Amino acid sequence: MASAGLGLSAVFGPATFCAVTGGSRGLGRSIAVLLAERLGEGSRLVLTGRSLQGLQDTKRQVEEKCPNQLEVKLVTGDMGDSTAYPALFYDIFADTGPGAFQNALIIHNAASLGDMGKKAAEHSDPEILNKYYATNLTSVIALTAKFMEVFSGSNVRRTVVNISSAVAVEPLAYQSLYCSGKAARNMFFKVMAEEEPDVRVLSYSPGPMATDMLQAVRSCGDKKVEDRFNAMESQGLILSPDASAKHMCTLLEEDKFKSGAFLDVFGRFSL
Amino acid sequence: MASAVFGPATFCAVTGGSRGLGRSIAVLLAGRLGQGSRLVLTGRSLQGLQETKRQVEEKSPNQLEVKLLTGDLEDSAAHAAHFCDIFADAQQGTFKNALMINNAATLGDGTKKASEHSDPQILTKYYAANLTSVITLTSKFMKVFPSTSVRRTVVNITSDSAINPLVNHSLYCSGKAARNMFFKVMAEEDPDVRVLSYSPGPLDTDMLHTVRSCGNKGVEDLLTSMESSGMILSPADSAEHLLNLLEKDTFLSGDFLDIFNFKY
Repeated sequence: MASAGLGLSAVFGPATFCAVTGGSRGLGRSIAVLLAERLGEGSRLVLTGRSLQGLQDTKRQVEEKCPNQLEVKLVTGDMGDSTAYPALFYDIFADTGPGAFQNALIIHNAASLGDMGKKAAEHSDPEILNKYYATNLTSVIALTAKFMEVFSGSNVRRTVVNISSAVAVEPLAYQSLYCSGKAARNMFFKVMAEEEPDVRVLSYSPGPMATDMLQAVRSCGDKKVEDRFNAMESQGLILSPDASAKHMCTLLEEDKFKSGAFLDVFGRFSL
Repeated sequence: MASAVFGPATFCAVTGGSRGLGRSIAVLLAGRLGQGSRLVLTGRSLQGLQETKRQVEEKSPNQLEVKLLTGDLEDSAAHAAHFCDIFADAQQGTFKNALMINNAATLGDGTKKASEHSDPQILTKYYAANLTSVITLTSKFMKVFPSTSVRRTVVNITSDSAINPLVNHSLYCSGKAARNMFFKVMAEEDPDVRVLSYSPGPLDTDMLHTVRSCGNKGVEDLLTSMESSGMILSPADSAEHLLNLLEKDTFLSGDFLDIFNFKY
């Protein structure tokens, strides 16, 4: 049941608006399903992604957990296309009139890896780069700006989560775009946290998880990378996205993190 | 004296060479680049570039070929042509050393908080000038100078704002953070390239004065107190420190070092 064993918290209590990007699979799906149990009466969960089918599957799983209470809205779109943002963002935040929600939570989870066949020095096409950073950086910034505009006003408790990665601080060969995009996001949100002391800002590194994304990294063709993930797997270090989503939710509910902090699921760093 | 890094037949490109640190780097290099070298300076202001060239030629009147190219790095459609020009007639075999100094940068709108950057077109232009142009330019550099016969060095002029958040400068901070990480990955992948991220410190340049007048009192006060404590450096001193680091050549490729020899 919605509140059994957990209680509703200040973060996920009644009348919470929550948007999760990249909700069609992987960590985004796990977060959505976990939140379904915890969002209180009058809440709304908005899931975005490129795959309508994936979003629908997520919605189905969410509704299994929480059949009556939660309004789930699906918005399909491609964050790589900045001309589509106005329409996309409009859909995400439609019907969020003043007073509708007491809490607002946005989880920037959608991400792409970029071409892992290329070394840093081989990224020569500006259009590909622009698209990459549109998906992974500028969409996040513009969407956050919209979120803050929609939920301006002091009586809405606002939380912004940046799903980050250890590679924001640890260089990984063939991942120059992914590493740099995550580094940029972390820093952006650190500045935001300083400027907006009444917004809870968290950069969360979910750890290596059994998702399509990890599979893609693993099969990028670089033996060192493959070996590394094989070793992690044999040491039981690959998490389920559900476990990582749970840890993230716990961090949010405990609400002790310093705004702007970059925290890792294993507690390996806290930057 | 000509060194392994700046010895004879060195190709050197410096972006943002029309003023500030870029100018100081160019002028200092003039004294160190050896016979048969070429210095290519890019920037938005032709007048600024010409003034830099004049100062360079005062230092090194005969030896150094100086080429000026105007261009706006915000316009990614123009990059291909601009970069072709930078490396025109730099065929393999002409140069023994190649040095790329990614110095050009912009601050973004200092009156906006992070959460106020709502216009994706402005964001795209910002990251084009400060991030993607650096990536594609470096890529072109690496293609023009493949490793076999040329000693290659890539410098990323960064900032401690890559690590320490500066209010009203979320774009600047995030762009620098992205570059630092990008070059760390590059250093891992291409061990025969010397890659350095250099934080020049707070410099007495137009850029600093722009930061100072961003409208945020905290930032203004910070810079004012730095000035009164004598912490604002001349770009010439910082440029000298950079060149010393490069010549000494003991840094770990991919390192992020600052003028105070602090290693991040």
